[in-house]
Formats: sequence, C-alpha cells, structure tokens
Amino acid sequence: MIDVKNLSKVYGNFKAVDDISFNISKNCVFGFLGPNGAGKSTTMNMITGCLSPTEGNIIINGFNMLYQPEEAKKNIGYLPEIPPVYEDLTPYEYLTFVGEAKKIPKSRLKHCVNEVMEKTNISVMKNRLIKNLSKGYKQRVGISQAILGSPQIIILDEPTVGLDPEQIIDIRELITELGKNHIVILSSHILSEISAVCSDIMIISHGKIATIDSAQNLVGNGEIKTAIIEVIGENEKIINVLNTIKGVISPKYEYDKNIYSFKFNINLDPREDIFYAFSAIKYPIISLYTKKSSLEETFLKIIQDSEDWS
Amino acid sequence: MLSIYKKELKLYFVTASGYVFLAFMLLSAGIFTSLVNFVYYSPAFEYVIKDMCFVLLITVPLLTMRVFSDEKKQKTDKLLCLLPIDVKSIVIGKFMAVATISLIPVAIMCVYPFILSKYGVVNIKTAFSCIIAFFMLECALCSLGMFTSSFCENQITSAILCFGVILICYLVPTISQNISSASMFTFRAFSVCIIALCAVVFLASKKILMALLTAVILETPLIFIYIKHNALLVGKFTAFVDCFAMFKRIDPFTNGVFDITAIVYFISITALFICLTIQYENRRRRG
Repeated sequence: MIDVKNLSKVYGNFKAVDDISFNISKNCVFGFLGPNGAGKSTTMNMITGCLSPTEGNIIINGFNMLYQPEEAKKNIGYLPEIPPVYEDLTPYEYLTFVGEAKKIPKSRLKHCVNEVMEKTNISVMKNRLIKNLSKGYKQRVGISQAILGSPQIIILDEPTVGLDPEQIIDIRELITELGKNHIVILSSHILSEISAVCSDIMIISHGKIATIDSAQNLVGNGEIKTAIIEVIGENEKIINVLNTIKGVISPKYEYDKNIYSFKFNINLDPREDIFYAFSAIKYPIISLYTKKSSLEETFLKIIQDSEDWS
Repeated sequence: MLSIYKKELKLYFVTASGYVFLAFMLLSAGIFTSLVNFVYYSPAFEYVIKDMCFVLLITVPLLTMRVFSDEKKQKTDKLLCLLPIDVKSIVIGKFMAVATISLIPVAIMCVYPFILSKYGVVNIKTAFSCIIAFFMLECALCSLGMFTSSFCENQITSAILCFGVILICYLVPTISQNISSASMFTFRAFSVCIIALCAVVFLASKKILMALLTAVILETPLIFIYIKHNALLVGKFTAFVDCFAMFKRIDPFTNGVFDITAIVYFISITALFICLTIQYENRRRRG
C-alpha cells in the first residue's frame, strides 16, 4: 500500500535523503527510527506530499504522490511534530474543517468528528478554544485530525510528546488498535515506545536506510540469538572449537579473557554440541546463556556501523 | 475550496481582525459622509469613495497580513499541504474569504446614497459605479496583500511590506509628475529596472545564466531603440510608472464615467497577484 522507490531529496549540495526504497503492504505499526538530522522528517514530509522529492516515486494505494496528489493524500493522515492546529478554533470546529477538506460526506461528518473525539478522549474539551487547551490535549487534537476519515495510512511523528504517563498508555493502546486495520508509521525517539508498539522497524541514518527488520529480530527475540559463553582454556583453541560446531555464527572473543560470544539460529541450537565439544577437550564451561539485547543497544550499534561505513 | 473559504471567514470573526476591519471601514465611511455630504452640503457620494481610498492603505494590510503568514507561524501550512486540496483552491478560497469581508462594508455603504437622496439630488448611477470601482480596487489591493503575506512568517512584517507597496502605488501619480520625460533619462531608468529584474530572476532561480539572458533579451532592444529611434523613448518611463497608479484609476468613476478599462485593469491585477501567490506557494512546497 506504500511503495517508496529510490527516494532522494537534495538541498543545495546536501543530500538529506539518499536513494531510499521500502514497501509496506500489510496493516501494521511500522517504527521509524533515526538520530536527529537522519532524514526521518524529510522522508515523512515527502511521503505525505508536504515536500516534493528530488528523485524517486511514492505510490500510495496505487496513486503516485507526484502525479495524483489529491487521490494519494485522501489515503493519508499525518500528525507532524508540532500539531497543526488553529488556536482560535475549538476542537469541534477544527475537526469539522479538516473533515470537510478531506471531503467526508456531510451526512457522515458529524458522526466521524464525534467518533475521533471519543477515541482520543477530547469530547469534554470540544467547545473550548484550542489555545486554552494543555499541550497534551493539543497533541490529541492533532492525532484526531490525522485519524479523521479513517485513512488507510496514518503517519505519526512523535505522537506522545507532552502527554502524561496515563495519556501515553492510552495513545499507545490507540496506536496498537489502529495498527490492526491501518498502516501506521510511527516516528519516535522513545525507543521503548517503538519496541512496545511496533511490529516492524526501519532505522535511517545519514539519509539512508540502515536496516529494516521485524522488532523481534532487532531486539533479539527472533530466530537469531546471541549467546555468551565463559570457558577456561586457550583463546585460539576455543574459537576454533566454536567454529567447528554446526549452527554457531561468527564467534568472537569478548571483553574478558574467558568470555566469548556467538550468534546462533534457534532452529539449529548448538548448545548441546558445545557442551560435549568442550567436555571432550576438558575445557570447563563456567556459564552459557543467551543474551537479549535491548533496542537501544541495537539502535546504537546500527547507527555506529552506518557511521563507520559512511 | 469551500472548506478553506468557510474556515478563513470563521477565523476573521473568532479573532478581532474582522471586527476591527469592519469597524474602521464603517467609521471612516461615516466620518467622510458626514464631512463631505453634511458639513459641506455636497450631494456627491463619489467624493466620499475617493477619500475612502486613502483608508485602504491601513485596512488592506490589516485584513491580509495573517492570510498566509499566520499559517506559517502556527505551522498549520503543513496541514494545508497534506489535505487533499490543491494550492490553487487554497489560494482562491483564501482570496474569496478576504473579498467577502471587504464586501461587507461596501454593501453597507450602498445604503448611504439612498439615505442622502432623501435630503437632496444624488446621482445614484455615479455613486454606484464609484462603489463598484472601489470594491474592485480593494480586491486588487487584497490580492497584493495576500501575495506579500505568502512570503512572510510574521504578520507585522507582512503588514509593513503590504503598506509600503500600497503606499508606493498611492504616491505613483505624484512621482510620475516629477519624472523627466527625456529619452536619456528614460533609457537610464529602464536600464536600472532591467538590472533589478535580473537580480530578482537570479534570486528566484539561483541561475546566473538565466539572469544574464534576461538582461540581454531586455537591454538589447532598449539600446537599439535608444540609438536608432531616440524619440520613441520620450515620456515612456512616465507612462510605465503610471501603470502602477492603481488609485488613479478611480478618477474617471468620480467624474461620472464608468471606465471599463479600469475594471479590466483591476481584474488583471487581482488575477496576476493570485497567480503569483499560487506560483510562490507551489515553489515553496517543492522546497
């Protein structure tokens, strides 16, 4: 439903987005991660039609954003970093305007507006001027305009900024719920939020895609796991033994003299073979356990790798 | 377009700007009517309209300053970008809202000639042709104000810029009277204008070649005419400057002439600035 092909954006001599391609075809919550200035917002602005790309194509539900912007935009709801709200209108007036602009039929407009206000819990504030609302309520008015009209694709840039913990939980639940029937692209700097809500994650660095993978794989809950082993014996011999065992991927010496790490596929679990291999050469295994890496670690490692590569 | 029009109209009346504009226009119309028609016992409502033109110097910037600049300040320009509405509809919707607000005091002013006719002989046709011309002038100035607002992020900057441009238009007849009509002066003045235009082309396109090409295309025939047909240039710069004399176009109407050329002129200016605003907004979206 979103097909981004060879997307680039150049400002003068600076390439903000460099040949990005990805495709999201099933309903899910898709996390968008990257350090500041990585090109996340530029990419999102191009996907939503707020900015024209220098090169590349964006296809939204079969409509090219460049040549059929109106049709493509009908399928997108977007909450930018700063909620685009008219401070002098009430949430009800504002959402009615957005609904009319989104060409929601007049017969359904009132119902749709009331429905999104209930979903985001702003019904009690519907007749107050937006300028008199708290930051959290303004954010929720912004989310309401993004989901109004039930667009197929919902893009949320830092949706929980300014919300209190209770509101954050509510919005996360709403995002998870939306992900069942929509494609939700969620950009956030809060990695715990991304790992809690998103099923797939794209990490972008220096305008390029550093990785796209499922959240499970990125946090080590996928098929590939990392194991830590503590064995007493000669360094080289231990590495050689690990290399001979089926299922062990890239064993390496870690920070302490007896600590080694390796990756393995859970379908080819080599831990039993490791035990017998070291037992045969009389090298005692002090400990052997699998390591669950956090998204923070994975994120930092991927960003570091991409910087080294750059 | 209708949703933008309705939203803009609503914003004028949830803030003070719409009421201030209406109050100022109607107060000015009342003062001028009292002075011209009641203090000096003149039955001519057209002189009221002529005096009212001066008020536009203040009210048009007041009315148009927030049209686009406020969207940028509140970051709602992004909302307009992502809604399934094209730039043309946004600009026209906004202009229609401004024109509607402008129409309200003009519509109220339409009653004045009938009130005055109770106390003397009022030339209703002249009065109404003047009111129509006044509204057309107001629309032309509003489109100009909307254009200045499109490249400002601050309402005050937008208002000052709009006021400056309208003031120049207001002073053009006085300026043109004091301009030499000699061919040498005309040649120099046009050359300076061409250099300024090239600078604008360069700033807009960032291409020196395009700016140089514009200079060559415009300057070559000018030099040729200056050398070969010197007399052709006499008084041409004055005539060129007079093209910007928007307020002067009201004069035939006050003299009882319904000047169609002036109406076409106002419509052309309005269309020109609407098109320029659409172009600028499209360019801004391209980043």
